[in-house]
Amino acid sequence: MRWAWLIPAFAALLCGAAVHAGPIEFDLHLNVPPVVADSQAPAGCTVTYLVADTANNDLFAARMRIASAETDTPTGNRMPCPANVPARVGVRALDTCQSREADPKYCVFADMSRGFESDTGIHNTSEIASRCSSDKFSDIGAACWMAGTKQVCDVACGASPAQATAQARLRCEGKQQHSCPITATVPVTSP
Amino acid sequence: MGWRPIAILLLLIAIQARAQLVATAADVPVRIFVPPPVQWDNAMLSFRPALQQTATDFANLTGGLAFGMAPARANASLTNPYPGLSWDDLPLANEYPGEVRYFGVPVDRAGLLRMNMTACAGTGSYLALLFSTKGLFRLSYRLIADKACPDTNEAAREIFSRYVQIGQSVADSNRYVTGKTQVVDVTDPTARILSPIRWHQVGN
Repeated sequence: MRWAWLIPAFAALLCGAAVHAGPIEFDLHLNVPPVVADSQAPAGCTVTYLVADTANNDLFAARMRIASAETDTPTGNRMPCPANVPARVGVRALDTCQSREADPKYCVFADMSRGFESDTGIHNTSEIASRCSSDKFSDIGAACWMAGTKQVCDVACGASPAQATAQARLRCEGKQQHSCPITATVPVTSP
Repeated sequence: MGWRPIAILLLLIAIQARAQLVATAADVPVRIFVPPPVQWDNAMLSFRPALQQTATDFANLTGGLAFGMAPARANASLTNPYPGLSWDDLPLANEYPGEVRYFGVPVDRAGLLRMNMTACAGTGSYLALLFSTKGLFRLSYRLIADKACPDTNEAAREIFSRYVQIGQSVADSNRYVTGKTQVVDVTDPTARILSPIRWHQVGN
């Protein structure tokens, strides 16, 4: 009987342990980059979208890195990108603009249809044509013309900044039937 | 005669139109803003920031200024601090609910906070540092056009491009126009109630 008090004491200790024995905390900071990076490792897949803020005539490059599968093998020191990218990735790319804009309707994909200046809805833009994958291209470019105060753009991919710009300009001038002298380009993959 | 001259004439007109389209003006390069990348899993079902950014990244950009700083401490971190600045002396920023106070620094005397801006900004342009009772929660660049600098859009873009590189979980940056003024706001993401409020220029 002298040790009977130990039973509730043990019970209390076990209950305390049970409180802490829940699911493991999700964020274990496992995503902290390694201290030593392998500079020879093939570049992972990045899909970069160009998104436009039509209120400010701004362009954003939304870079989406996609983890490789264990079975993926590099080609030309570049990891492959998925053949199909789900729409939710594009939605996240748009959020790059929408989270900075008071009215999200001003945020659209940067590859715009002919006549976009008179109907500036997102339905008049192309998600697929607004993105480039790092397994095929190194640069993404845009070319635009000014319809009054509104910038109307189209997008293209290239193997160099000059090629991406030239392709975007060709696409814009062919599609919009206007000269498209306003150009911009960024690498698909972040440095 | 007959249809041949008409066909040749139409062909010449088409060639001329095409030539006009091809003979375009030289490229006018513009800036693309580059926020930090996002990392997706292989199935593209979930994502997270690809970079680990912290308040230190923000402080490195601003020369030591950090959200949550009291006015006196924020003032002390500036290149040209005001002597004897205190909370009670600061004017109220009436566009915000509750007690929000601020002080301004001319952009041309803002040191590192100029963000290496090379484009023109009007002589009246300033950086407002806004404080709640919890400390600094917003930097607000107000770039006011004038005769010498009729358009401050490029200056705003230069400043915005630097802050966009910091993730929105560390510093939430956005830009807009009010009157003749380009505004770039950089806000503490934890200041949720105050975050959507925008400044409106009076008298333009």
